[in-house]
Amino acid sequence: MMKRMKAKEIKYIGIIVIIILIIFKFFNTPYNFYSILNWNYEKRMEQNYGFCKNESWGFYNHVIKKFDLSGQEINTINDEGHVTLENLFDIKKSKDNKSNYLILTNYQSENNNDIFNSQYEFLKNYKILYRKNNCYLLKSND
Amino acid sequence: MIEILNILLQIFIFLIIFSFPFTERSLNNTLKLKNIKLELIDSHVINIIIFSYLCLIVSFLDIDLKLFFKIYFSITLLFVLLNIKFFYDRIKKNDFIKFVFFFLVILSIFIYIAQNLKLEWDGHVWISKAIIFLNNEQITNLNNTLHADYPHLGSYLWAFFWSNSLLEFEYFGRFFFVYLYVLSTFLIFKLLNVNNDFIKIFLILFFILLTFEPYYFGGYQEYLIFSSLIIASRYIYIYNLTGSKNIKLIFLALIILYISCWFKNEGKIYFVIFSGALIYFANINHYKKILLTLLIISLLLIQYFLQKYLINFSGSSDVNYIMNFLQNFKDINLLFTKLFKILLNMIIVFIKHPLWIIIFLAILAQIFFIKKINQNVKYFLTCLFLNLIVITGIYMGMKDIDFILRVTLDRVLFQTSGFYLILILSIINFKMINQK
Repeated sequence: MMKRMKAKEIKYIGIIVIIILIIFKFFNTPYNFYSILNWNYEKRMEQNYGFCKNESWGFYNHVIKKFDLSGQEINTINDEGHVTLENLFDIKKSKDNKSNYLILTNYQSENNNDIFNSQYEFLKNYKILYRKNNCYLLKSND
Repeated sequence: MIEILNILLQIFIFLIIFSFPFTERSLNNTLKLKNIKLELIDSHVINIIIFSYLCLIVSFLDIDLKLFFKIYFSITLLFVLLNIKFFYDRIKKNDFIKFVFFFLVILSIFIYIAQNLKLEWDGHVWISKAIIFLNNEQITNLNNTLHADYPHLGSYLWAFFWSNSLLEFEYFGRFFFVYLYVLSTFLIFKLLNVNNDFIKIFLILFFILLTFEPYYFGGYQEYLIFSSLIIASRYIYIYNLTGSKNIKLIFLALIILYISCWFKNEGKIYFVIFSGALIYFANINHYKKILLTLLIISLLLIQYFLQKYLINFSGSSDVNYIMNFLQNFKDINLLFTKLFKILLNMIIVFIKHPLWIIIFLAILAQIFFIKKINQNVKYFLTCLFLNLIVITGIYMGMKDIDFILRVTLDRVLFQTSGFYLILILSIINFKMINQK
């Protein structure tokens, strides 16, 4: 009787362990858990969105902190066609090209072309405030 | 570690906040069903629907999110503490194993979202609405967002749980979508006539494996409609099963279906199709059918007027859409080309979302093997037919459909797929009853 009880219990525990393993494997839980413990929110945002690639969250975060741009009206362009991230920061997206600041990310250039010879004519009204690889923070000359 | 602890805390907040106002007992006393006893999970889900409606009302009143949370949470916490023995006994007695796995699945998906926290394309549209509520701005500011005509309830719920999480990270707001999805999945499998809990859990996991799309958790509202339709399908199924004339169940199903109108614009179409068919198939007299039809029309009008006069939303280009649709009939080549493209893309989507393949296999099994189509199955088959016809009609009325089909059809079809899960469950149930 005791033996049969034990066999039944072992079967139950076995099934429970299998289901738990399926859940953990399917959702990649152990790695995700490890990742959250190892990297903070900002680091993970940067891993997901890139620093100066894809949506370039890291660049936004860096320049907004460095130049204290919170609450400012800023024009944003992602030259690679990715979505711009003004909604994830405390900045207002400018509706025209006349704002004080411009964040240009993933600028696509050929040979020695610089941003002032690009398709964006209005960039001539700006000066470079900060640059990291192909990402720029520009300030209006006015 | 702080983030992990906050994720755990968020699960407990959901468990507490959605335990009010109905308990299992009070829900059964209210609905008074003859053959079926609703369970704790039913009351939990109904409480979420009630909470969503409360959020909808509050969203128009420009009340501070934190204040609203503090008041609501205090009431629910008090309610749970007063009923703690009942909840504890209920879970311990009947559903302990299922509760543990529910907790594990929820925790695993929450941790998954916390690691893969990127918002996808449309997520940036919906978050712009959520930010308006997060900043306690006036609701009329929704007009300044990219798609002002999109309903705002999903974004409000997102902002509510975002604002009221301790760390105030954006992704905590999206946990609500996950919670509703997993809960609705566990709920619908209550209809399965299988006594072995482990088989049920394996089937639930299989369903989650088929329907878990991390991309849609990147700020999309698809899962809100998907889950609310699953919830509605349970009560529609119960209504037909009992064969009674319990109009409260129809009313409950309509209220659940109506909430999807406030998640996405497509929700209005699903509401009209599914509730219209429900009234048609319902075992009630013509007088009640007319009253319920009037209720559906009134609810749609209420939404229209609320959006027009409280949000000052100026309206969409419905006239252009109808003109486009009618133009199809002038050019027969265009008509067939569009139809072919839509059907081709539908087949691609059915392959992309394998739940659809299983649904169609279940329908084939129903027609060719069981050969007995009851009222329940008839209702869901009618809905499926109307659903696919209307979706085809909508795309027929659009210009340049190639791109739109490629980026939207999969989501549109995914949203309703959960509603037809009943067709699969009824086949399994038929097999189980025959084996007994």
